[in-house]
Amino acid sequence: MMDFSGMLAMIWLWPLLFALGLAWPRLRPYGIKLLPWALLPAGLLWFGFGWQLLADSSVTLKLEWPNILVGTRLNLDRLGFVWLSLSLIVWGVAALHSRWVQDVYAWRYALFFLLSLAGSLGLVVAADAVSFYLTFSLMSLAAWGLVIHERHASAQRAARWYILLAILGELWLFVGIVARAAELGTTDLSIWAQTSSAGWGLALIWLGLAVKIGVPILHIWLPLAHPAAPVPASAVLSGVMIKAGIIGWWLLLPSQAMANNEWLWLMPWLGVATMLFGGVLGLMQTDPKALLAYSSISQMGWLIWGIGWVWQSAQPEWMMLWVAAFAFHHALIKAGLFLAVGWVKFSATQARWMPWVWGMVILLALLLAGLPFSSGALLKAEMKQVSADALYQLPDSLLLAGSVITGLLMIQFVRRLARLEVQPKTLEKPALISWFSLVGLALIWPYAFMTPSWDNVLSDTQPLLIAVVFATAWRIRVNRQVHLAPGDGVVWLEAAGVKISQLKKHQAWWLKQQQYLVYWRLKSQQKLRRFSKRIYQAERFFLNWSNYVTWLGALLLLVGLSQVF
Amino acid sequence: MSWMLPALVLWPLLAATLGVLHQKHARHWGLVGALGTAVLGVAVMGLETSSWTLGGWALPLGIGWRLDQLAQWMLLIGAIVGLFVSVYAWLDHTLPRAFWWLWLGAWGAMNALFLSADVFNIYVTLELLGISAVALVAISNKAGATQAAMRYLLVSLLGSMLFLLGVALLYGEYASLDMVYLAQQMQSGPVMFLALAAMTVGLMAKTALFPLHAWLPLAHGRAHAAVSAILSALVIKASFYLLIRLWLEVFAPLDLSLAFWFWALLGSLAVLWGATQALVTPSLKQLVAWSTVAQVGYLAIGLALMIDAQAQFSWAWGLVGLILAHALAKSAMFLAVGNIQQRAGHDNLQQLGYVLRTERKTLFAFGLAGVSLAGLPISAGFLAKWWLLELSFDHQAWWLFGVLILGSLMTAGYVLRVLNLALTNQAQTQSLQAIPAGREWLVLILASLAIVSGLSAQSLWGG
Amino acid sequence: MDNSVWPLLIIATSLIPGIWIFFIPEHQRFLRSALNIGGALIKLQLVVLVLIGLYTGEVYQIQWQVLPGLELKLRIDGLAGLFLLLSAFLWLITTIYAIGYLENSPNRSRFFGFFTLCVSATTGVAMAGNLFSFVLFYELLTLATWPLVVHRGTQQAIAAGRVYLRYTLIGGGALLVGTVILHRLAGSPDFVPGGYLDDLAIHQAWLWLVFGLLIAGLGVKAALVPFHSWLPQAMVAPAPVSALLHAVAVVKAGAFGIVRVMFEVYGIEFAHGLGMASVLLVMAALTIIYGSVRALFEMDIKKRLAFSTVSQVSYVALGIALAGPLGAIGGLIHIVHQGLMKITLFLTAGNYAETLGIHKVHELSGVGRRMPWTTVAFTLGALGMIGLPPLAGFVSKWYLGLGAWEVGLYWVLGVLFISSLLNAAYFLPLVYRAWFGEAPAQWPHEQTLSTKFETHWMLLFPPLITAATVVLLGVFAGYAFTTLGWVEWLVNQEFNGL
Repeated sequence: MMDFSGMLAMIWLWPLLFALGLAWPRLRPYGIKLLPWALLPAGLLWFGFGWQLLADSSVTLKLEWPNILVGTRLNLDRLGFVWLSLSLIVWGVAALHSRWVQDVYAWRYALFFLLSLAGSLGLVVAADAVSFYLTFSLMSLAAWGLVIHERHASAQRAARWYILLAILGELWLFVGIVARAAELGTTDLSIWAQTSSAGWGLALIWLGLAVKIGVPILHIWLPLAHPAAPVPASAVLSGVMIKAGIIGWWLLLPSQAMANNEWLWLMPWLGVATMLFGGVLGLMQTDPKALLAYSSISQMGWLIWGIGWVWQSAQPEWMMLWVAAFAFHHALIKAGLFLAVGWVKFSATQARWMPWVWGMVILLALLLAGLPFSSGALLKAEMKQVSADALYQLPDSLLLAGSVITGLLMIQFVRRLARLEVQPKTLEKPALISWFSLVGLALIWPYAFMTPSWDNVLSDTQPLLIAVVFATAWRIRVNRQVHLAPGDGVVWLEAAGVKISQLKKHQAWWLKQQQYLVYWRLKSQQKLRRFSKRIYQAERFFLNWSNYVTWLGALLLLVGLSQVF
Repeated sequence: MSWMLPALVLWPLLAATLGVLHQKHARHWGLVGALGTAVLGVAVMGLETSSWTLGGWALPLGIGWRLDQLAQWMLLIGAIVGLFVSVYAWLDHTLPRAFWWLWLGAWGAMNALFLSADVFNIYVTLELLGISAVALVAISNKAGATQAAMRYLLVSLLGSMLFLLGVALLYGEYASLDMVYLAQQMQSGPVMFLALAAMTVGLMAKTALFPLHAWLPLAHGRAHAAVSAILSALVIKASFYLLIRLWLEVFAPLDLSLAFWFWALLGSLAVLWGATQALVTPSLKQLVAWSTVAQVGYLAIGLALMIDAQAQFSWAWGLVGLILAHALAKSAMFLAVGNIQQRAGHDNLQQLGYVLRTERKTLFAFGLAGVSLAGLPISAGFLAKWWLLELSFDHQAWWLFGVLILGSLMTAGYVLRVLNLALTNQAQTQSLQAIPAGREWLVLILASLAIVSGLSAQSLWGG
Repeated sequence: MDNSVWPLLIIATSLIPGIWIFFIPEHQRFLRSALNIGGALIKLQLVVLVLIGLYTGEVYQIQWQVLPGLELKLRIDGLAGLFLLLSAFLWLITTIYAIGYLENSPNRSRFFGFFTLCVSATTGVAMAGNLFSFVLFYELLTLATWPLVVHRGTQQAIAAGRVYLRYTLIGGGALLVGTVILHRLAGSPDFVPGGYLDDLAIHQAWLWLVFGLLIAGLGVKAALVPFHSWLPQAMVAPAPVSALLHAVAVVKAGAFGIVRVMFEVYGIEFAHGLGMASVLLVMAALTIIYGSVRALFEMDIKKRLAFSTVSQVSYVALGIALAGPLGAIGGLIHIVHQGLMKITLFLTAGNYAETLGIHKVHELSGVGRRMPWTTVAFTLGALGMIGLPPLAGFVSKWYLGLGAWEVGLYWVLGVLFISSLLNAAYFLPLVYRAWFGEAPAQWPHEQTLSTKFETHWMLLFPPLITAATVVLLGVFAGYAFTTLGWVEWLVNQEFNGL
């Protein structure tokens, strides 16, 4: 059996090497074209390790560098393989689609693409807290370059909020990691998984990663950033990066020892809340990309819900695979959907392909909405089933509502997509093929693991039907778009910020203080000068002869009489 | 008695006489005299300490000479500073011939003063020293020099008279002039206190201790640079040396515990007043002169700390260190000022920026001397200040910490007034006079000595 | 060769060229540069040799008595080695930079003379074997730096120099008084890991008084709030001076002094027991936050960097005051790491100013395209300051965080959090502007310094080298030869085994 452990480092050092190469100006024009090749080692590892997994599903690759940073460990196991797969596919497809980016700064896009790719792949194999933190931050911060790439006002605004919350999250994460590392005395994540530590450290780690996941209130950056980025970047943002938070929770929190945590009951509720929250707000969007971003939040609700019961379970490691499968499902479809926006937008004039494109769009929408016999429906059903013995159960109706709202979102998405303004670009054949393949894969992959049965067809169709009925009813009875600006809370925060900065009174006060300071300085300088002059003249007193003699006499008396006392 | 001791006194006088006779070459005779005296002054360090009677006036009258460690050190300090000043003066053609006669005369008198073991001899040498010092001021052609010399003369005479009064009282009481003998016989009494008071106040006036300092900035400010260096570094030290002799030796058996306050207070006031004036005075030379007033304050504080019976006498090296530090630094500073003044043709601080910038070595020397004066490390001044601080701690005189540190800061302040100018971008406003390069080096070496002697201070207490 | 010669040689390699340079005529550029760089190279080599010797257990020390019971002592121990290496390395870098920077400007002999004296004093501070010797060199450093601060001779520079001296000399006075009192109470024995005061029955009031005086004195240079005001003003100095001032010479001497006092005079456990560590901790924490907040509002690049220094240097004090081995590691490595990062930032800021005339934050727009390599170095420095892995700053922050947890002071983690957040807030906009801003049609004051590179090579390579070390020290932190390895060895001595 071949040893692939060296590849654990290569998969993310290789893209970094590419990124370094871009420092050489001559290479820059090829930056975009080279992107797919950055995934080469990851692909090799995927094949090699996948092969080994087929033979023995418990195999783990390990690599240790005790002297790098404060001790670096990398490993890859089954769960990591699922994550690696989804990352590889989505990043690969996005890399092929990156040819859409054709402006003069394309090489810069390539640079940040490579950097966040490195981070994104690295955190999958990270097995110590510091390398996780390193790769996670690399991914987060580099993605900022993707968000801001188009540089128009909304991209800049999105980037501002993105970086603000990314850094906030990262620092929470940092403090949390430090607290946990200090208490456990190690950064080895295999030990972390089994040992709990002080609550607030865990809470900080949770919070830090929750920013990435887009848990309500911390989500405000997400609907701004995901749409602002170029289409392929949006695909990776929503497809892969958003899920780094989930695997981060799994890796950094004591996943094997979580069952007794007193806050655990919150997780499923939070999951459902996120589903509904993201869905409802998404319905109020008119920009299809923003709508997809809210949909991602909503879908993350399923993962939060999922990891909530994984932690309750006695065999979390096995259960986590279901969550991973759902993540895989969402990654493929959401990436496909974002790319669909691109295809509709950029290739509208390619009449020959349009029916195909639209066909794919509708297929993807249905897949996400939970078409019976598709991955969405299958996974939801399976997840409900395996979670049946979980401690904290939720009413089924809530989960149903979550599914319904996804259906509604997809209907809204297709309608909005049809109204999109088009900007023709040349057709990139490899990209188109990759997209079609992605959709195809999204359609068929579950059948490799699951056999659909006719038993659940009715309940599976239920949410979709309700959604259609509701949407039609709304269209007939109300027919009105409730509008909400993307980023919801951001708007209020910004308004408040403007208010504060406009408080004229403060400015005037500040100016006055400074003027006073200048005045005071001048004044004291004058005073000092006058004082110096007086001091200088005071010496006359000692120069006066009669004074001199008086002093002399006084001193004589003083020394002479000192004996008397 | 080694032939060196009389030679210390006679050699400079001989050279001065030859200079008078052979006026054309007074300068060269002066240098020869100075070199010889300096060599002798250093060589004396190797002699055994001892005492001798002169002219058969044995005890109890006791007129004679004595060489002890304190005297050796004072002679050495005189030799070093004297050597540098003399070479400097030799390179300065603007000095009148009379300088050499007077200076060598003063040096001889000063050496005799350090060697004297009896108060009468001391009075005579003190008087001689005072007169030649006054004459040295008077030879300056600067405006107001004569006036300043007159004032100095009056103060000097007044001081000598008071000293003589003390001598008379002592003689009247114990029929002796020998200091060691007097110390053995010393008994408390009103007459003794009167003697002490008269001699102290007289010497205070000559040392220019606040509040009797008024003559000094005038005299030192208006004299030639070389003369100022001599006056500040040596002449003042001679009268202070006598104060040490009186307070720590002759009158030591008296109960002088209150005197701590006397000296410490006056010293502190001197430090503060002198430094304040140096901070506001508009002329460079005055600034340095005022600095002397302040530094005399440190000497007084040192004396105050030594008077207390608790202090071990072995600590007295600190006073010598203080004198040494100040002598080296102040002479270097005055000579540096001389260079600058001569180069610029004036000493108005505000207009010296350009000159200071071009005179790199001189300025550097001024800075080094300033470092030592301010008691910043690593310099003789620093160690002296350290010693003062340690003693203040032993006396639990916390307020002295404040005075010493404040004094140091103010010193740094007025030194920086000058250095600051050198760093400004002031443009050249007038043509500059040429001065011999040797004088720059000379000053630099002298200032370096002020720094280096800090590293070898252990020899002060024979370590 | 006798081991006692080494400390003297190390000082001499900068002292002798320094004094010599003063007397070299202005136009003899080659001789001056040769002396400068030659001295720096020899010194670096000596320091490396000495460090190797230290590792094999050699003892390097020399002492002589200056007063009864008072020794001037030079000794190279582990802590000294750390500081020596930092100063020797950065001196070499900065010298090269300064030669390029000051090309054709007036008063170069004066500048390099003091520049070199300043390094002599710094090495003296590093090697001082007892508190008395430390104070000595510490004051010398003050004096040697002042002419550098005022070097430009403008009104502003003179005023800054005055403020600088006012602070440092008064601080020096406090330090001196503290040292004298301590000397009378406990003598002036050598610095010893674990301190020498705990065995002596000295009244607590004395210990507190001395502590207050020493910390006030050292705090001035270390720019602890409220003694920090001189530092932002001193940034009027030429860039290499600011770089040296902020990275190694003055500010670090203060921080280093705090380390010596806390570890080797009082002994950290003793100081902790008396509550002094807590006082220092609170001061450091306040300084960290205050400096960062002020930096946020400064629109002058160098001023912003200066306030950043105020904040970052206190990490050292913070780490020490945590009174635990991990915190101590964090504090000590930050001496080196902050030095490297800050020197990178100042040198690059100098490059911008010298090449393009950029002084203000808003002028940085688009500079990344005009000077990409400089901006890369700047970015690395800034990211390191924020504490991102795998840069050196991360390692410091990591250990500080672990240290805070270790002793149960959780609020310190909050301080680190806020500070990092603020660091990001004042550094990232600069980085953003540099790379993403629109370049103006014309730079404020552009000079063509090189046809081959974006600026003069002597200006370009030094920051690149330091930026590279920032990366290397972070990535390879686990190896024994990096700062972390060295410092772990040191801290082991203080705490007698982790």
